Amino acid sequence: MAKIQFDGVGKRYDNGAHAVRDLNLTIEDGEFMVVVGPSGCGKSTALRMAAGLEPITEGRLLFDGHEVNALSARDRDVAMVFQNYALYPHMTVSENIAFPLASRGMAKDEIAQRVARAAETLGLTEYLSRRPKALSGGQRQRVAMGRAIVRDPRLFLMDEPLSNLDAKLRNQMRAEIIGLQKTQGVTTLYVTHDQTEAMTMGDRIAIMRGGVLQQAGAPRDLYDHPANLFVAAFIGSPAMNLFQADLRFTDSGPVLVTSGGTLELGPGAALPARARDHDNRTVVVGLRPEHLSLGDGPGPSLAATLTLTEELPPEKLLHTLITAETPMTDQVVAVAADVDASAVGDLAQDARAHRSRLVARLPVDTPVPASGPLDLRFDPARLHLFDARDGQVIR
Amino acid sequence: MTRSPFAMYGRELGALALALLWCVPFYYLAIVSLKPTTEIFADPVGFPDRLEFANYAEAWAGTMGVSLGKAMLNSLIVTVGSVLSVILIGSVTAYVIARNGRRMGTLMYFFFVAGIILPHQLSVVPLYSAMRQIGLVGNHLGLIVLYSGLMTPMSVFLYSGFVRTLPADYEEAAEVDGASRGRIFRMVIFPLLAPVTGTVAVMVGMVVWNDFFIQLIFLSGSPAQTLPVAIYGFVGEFSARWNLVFAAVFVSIAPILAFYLFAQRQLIQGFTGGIK
Amino acid sequence: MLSPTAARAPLSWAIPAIVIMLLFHYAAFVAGGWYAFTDWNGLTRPNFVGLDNFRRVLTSEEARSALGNTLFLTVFYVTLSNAIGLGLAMLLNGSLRGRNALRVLFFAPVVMSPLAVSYVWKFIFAVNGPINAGLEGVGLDSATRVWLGDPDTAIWAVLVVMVWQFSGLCMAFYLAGLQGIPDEVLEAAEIDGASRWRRFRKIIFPLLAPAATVSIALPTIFGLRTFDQVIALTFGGPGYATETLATQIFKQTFGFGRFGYGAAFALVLTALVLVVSSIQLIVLRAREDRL
Ligand SMILES: Nc1ncnc2c1ncn2[C@@H]1O[C@H](COP(=O)(O)OP(=O)(O)OP(=O)(O)O)[C@@H](O)[C@H]1O
Ligand SMILES: [Mg+2]
Repeated sequence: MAKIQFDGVGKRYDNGAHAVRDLNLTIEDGEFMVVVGPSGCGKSTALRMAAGLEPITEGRLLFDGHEVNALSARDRDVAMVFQNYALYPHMTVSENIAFPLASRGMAKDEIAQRVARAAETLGLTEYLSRRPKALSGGQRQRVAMGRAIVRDPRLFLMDEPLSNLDAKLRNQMRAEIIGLQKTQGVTTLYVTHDQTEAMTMGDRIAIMRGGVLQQAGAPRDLYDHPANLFVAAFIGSPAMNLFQADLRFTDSGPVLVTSGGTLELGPGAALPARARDHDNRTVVVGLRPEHLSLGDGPGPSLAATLTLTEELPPEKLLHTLITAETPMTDQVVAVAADVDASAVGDLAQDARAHRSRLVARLPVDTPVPASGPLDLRFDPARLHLFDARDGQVIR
Repeated sequence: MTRSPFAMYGRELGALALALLWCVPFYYLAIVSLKPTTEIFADPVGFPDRLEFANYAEAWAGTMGVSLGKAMLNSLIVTVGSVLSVILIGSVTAYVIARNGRRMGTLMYFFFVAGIILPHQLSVVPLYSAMRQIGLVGNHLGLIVLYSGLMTPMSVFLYSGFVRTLPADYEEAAEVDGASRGRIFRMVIFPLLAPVTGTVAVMVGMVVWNDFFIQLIFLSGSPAQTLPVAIYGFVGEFSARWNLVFAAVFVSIAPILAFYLFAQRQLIQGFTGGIK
Repeated sequence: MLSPTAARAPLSWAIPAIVIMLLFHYAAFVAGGWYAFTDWNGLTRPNFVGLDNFRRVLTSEEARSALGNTLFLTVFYVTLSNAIGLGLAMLLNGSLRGRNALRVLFFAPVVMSPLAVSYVWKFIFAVNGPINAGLEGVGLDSATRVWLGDPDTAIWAVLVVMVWQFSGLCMAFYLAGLQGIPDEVLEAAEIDGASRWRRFRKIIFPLLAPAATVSIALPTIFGLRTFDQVIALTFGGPGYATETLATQIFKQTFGFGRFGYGAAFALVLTALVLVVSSIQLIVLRAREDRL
């Protein structure tokens, strides 16, 4: 077990691809750190540098304060679970689990003991003499875990270990991995591109984009206080609602002016002093779906048109359109692109029509008209504001 | 598909006729060795009147002090030795080629594979005179060394095609698991190469077991002489006695034929593996 | 810095194989090539004789007939074994009863020693052997011959043995190729109304290009190196009627101790193999690429 520090770590591949830039990240002893981000953002590269499988081209990597840049994978004392498990197909389950111990020259009877214990923990005892080919996906996943937990490595590394499982098994294994990590207390670096997985598993989450760390923190922290538009758009499902507006400070307090009307924020918004710098500038407004409500009450409201209602007890999702410019900043587009190509198309279409999509998440028994106009109310205190040019958070 | 019964029948008839034609040499291979000497040319076509198993006893003694049993053992030693060493050299080398980057890998690949096309008839002359000087003519070791050299391109070629398709994951997993380079190759890579190792073993084994040109040059007249050389010498001595010649020929073919019948599917696949 | 993949398989591991290649292929090739320009007899010091050996290779009777026979055997052997092999493959690819047993039968000669196979055939071709006995048996006494002793028939006998032994190999290659053609393709063609011959000509045959490449290239190399069959059946005779380049290399070098002259033969053989193989590969690969 160890404390892992990335100190200005970077990676430039031979073909010139700068996969990771100036990564500064500390993983505390025993902590479960999840690295998440869209495809190609450098997650695997960061993980493989920690494993010693990819040479570090810039900066230093420290284990418990000692630089390990020059240590090869076999000398770093880490354990890794691969995306496709990389189980040795010609070895039985027990030989697979025993391999890391045998490689380190452990005595036979101790190996047998440890393998038995690991198999027991993972419920693999009755499969010990099978070959990987004769196992189900979930069992293979467990064997891969077994190969990692059978010894006490300083660091667990996992690269999308659940991506090859179906949804149900994935939920189950997610819980199992968390349980194992907590009982073993091994520092863990876990890579995924699934933000739900990240939110549920990590003690802390590090979000990357284009090789650059965007923000690291506890899941709740990232959800409530995204540092920039990218993190805001990436974390949360359904995603944070975003639209553009001009921020103005008037005598009656700050207001947001959209093409569809003016929203009075009032003193409840409690904007920080630096928001003044953005007076008369375009900002991106962010509102979580659960922070929108119907009916009368305090706070500003948005004139929306209901297009679709999805019932997902105990809640329902209202898909609406409002008259406000859709932000097409590169950060928003990048998140949409990671979802799929049609998401980018939708975004562009909305931008051309000068409208924005808003999703509201309400209790399932809220009375709602089938379609048509609707007032969506929000608490200005829950509002996120981002600089429209660089996407940095204002509030 | 609808096909007239006549067309169906014709196909089977054609196949049967060809099969019978193909069987002719096998028929003689089976019966001539069991005929008494007097009957061979009196009735070259028909079955023997009585089975003369003594032919085999006589043939087994061989010529020039080398029994067929001894020759078979010699062939076995040379074949097994060559196969093992070619497997070792080919697998390691193909692994290096596949893992050393595009440019270096391609360069080395052609350096090795060029050796497949060059016929060894030209190289054998200088190799013979060089190996004679260091005492590698007339013994097993010399032939094993020679075949290892000559068959290396073929095995590198066969192994390379496969190693290239091996994902690096297994090696990376093994490295994280703390295995040394030697251990990674021995415990992970080499076992994964098993299918090609089978093909290489069959191909090299068959070439070496059946090769005559080189064995004739390097072993004729030596106590280390292999089956083809022994049969050649035997025929030279007993050319008039076809029953003995056939007994010897049968003995020399039997092991590989038995192996073929036992593993024909894998063996044919070994030959045709490259065709899609 | 070395990439970890390369570090896992250091170049030094290939050194034994590199040395082997340099010694057994490249150095031996160069040395053999050098002998071809000398009068070396295997014992005394070789003298440089320029192109003398090659002049003899081009003019001497044994050389001309060796070259002619080698080309004759190669051309007919490649053609016949491919024709028969393709026919067998078409025959055995369908739903024919007992096709597995037939495949095993036709391929069996491939695994056997060519020398041993040739001795079996030598008996069949013998003057008082089964062929002549059979001909006499049906009253065709006039058709009997000294098959292996007649300059007109001896080379054909050699050819028969080669074709019998290795047609099965071509069959296996073509069968593997046929199995790679999806049934839907043929069914589509049948639905499109293509006749059987047309289906073969326009669909099956072009799709067999990769199989044809191997089926032609490999027997070509075998054919150019023909040795065992000739040694066993005729030892090159009668006269020079069945000499090949390989038998001449062997006889000149190890029989007569004319290492230089033998090497010149070997160099001619090498050049022939290289030229023919390259042309073939270029043509056949181009055919494959058009798939
Ligand atoms: N071996 C390599 N050589 C060159 N470039 C590479 C190599 N591996 C990755 N890259 C590049 O580096 C960038 C980061 O790749 P990486 O595999 O770390 O992404 P990732 O975040 O794991 O993505 P994914 O979610 O798709 O696995 C990508 O642009 C990729 O193309
Ligand atoms: Mg990845």
